[in-house]
Amino acid sequence: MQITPDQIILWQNGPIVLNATIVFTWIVMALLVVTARLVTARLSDDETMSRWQSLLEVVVVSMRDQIRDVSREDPGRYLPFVGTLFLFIATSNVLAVIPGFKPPTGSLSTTAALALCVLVAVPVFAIAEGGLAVFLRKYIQPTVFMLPFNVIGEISRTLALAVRLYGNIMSGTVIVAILVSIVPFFFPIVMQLFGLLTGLIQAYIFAVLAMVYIASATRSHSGEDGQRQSAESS
Amino acid sequence: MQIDWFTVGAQIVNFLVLVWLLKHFLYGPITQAMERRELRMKDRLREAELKKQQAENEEIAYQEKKEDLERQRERMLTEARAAAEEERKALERQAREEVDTRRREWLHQLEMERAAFLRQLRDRSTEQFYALAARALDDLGNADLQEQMAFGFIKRLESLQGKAKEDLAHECAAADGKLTVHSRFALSSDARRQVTAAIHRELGKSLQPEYETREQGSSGIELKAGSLTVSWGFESYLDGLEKAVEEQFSALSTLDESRAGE
Repeated sequence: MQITPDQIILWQNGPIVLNATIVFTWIVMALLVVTARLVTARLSDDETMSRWQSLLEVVVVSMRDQIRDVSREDPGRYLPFVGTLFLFIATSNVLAVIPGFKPPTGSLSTTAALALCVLVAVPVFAIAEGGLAVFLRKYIQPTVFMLPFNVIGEISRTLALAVRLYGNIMSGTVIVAILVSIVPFFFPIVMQLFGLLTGLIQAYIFAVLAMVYIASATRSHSGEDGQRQSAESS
Repeated sequence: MQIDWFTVGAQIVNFLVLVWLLKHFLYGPITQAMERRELRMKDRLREAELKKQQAENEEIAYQEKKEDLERQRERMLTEARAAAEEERKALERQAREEVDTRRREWLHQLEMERAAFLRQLRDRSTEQFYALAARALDDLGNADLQEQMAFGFIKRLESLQGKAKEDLAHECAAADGKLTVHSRFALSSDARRQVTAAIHRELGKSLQPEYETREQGSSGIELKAGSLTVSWGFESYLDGLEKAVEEQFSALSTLDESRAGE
């Protein structure tokens, strides 16, 4: 039994491997981009708009509101990264109900890739916000001895992010596979529906946690800056 | 459980490409469209607010204009009423004056008619009285009226005494002895002779009286010398008749006025 789509190899040339994870990722990407392109090609900025535009606006506005709630900042800068995380994971997980579709999020490689992206995005946003020195100073707070623990904290946080998503999606797929072999009727369908719910929840959790990490890094720096500026002025 | 690092790299690239694609095809256009819509709605709201303000201003202006018109109407009505009242008073005054004028004219006309009537009555009465008296004297005593009138005049002439007589003689002398005897009716030759004899006897023999008949003046015989006059006639009788008729007229006019007053 293949528990990860990485093992389904469709084409291989030396070290370059085209497995199911990459192919299904492209399918999800194509679906998202084509849908977005089709809808935004006929965008309307008056009171009347198409249903699809209305749906996309609701999605975008909800994500912006969520980001604003978490970061308490203007969501425009974080929306492409965090919003794409949510849309990609949610779409992959929802498409899992289609027979034969292997969700890319069920691959530890994909979730590790996404977690690595978050791992890199946190310092990128923090440095863009407060500068490199301010970001690095955070690792020796409150003392220099905390440096290893802070580094371990960053790594474990990224690992947890990757494994949580992988485990949930992979387990959903595995449970359904096992149940199909034991109880072939009805029960797997209920589990599939349940999988839809958990898939969306996981997408939400992943995006929100990424936002929380980014926000905590940028806010702590800006908070320190604010405190320092107020101390200098007094 | 294993991690394929080639897949991890590929997925990182895939994800970054997806971020870029969605940023250009989804978030950017959608956000811009929403911002444009928001701007347009703000513009519309501002425009609506402007129009509302304009409408309110126009309403206030209209209200003020309406009140102005109302005040103007009231003022014009008041002026029109005052003018109408003034006109009414003027017309009334004019009508009263006209009525008064006509009344005065009418009264004047009435008075003239009354005077003419009395004069005519007096003339006719004189003639009638003369005819009646002549006939009565003739029937009763076979006497001539003219002779009786001449007799009456002579008695009147003879009754003059003292200064009156002297003044008359003096006036007659001043007129070079020319004096005129007027009568309403032509005197007979006997009557003229008797009168002439009486004048000669009383005032002087040189006097030459001339006899004239005239419609106006004394109803009997009248001697006129200079500014003095001696006469005898029916005046006292006719005056009594005229007075009685006037009293009758006065009583009738008083009755009419009292009826008009009621």
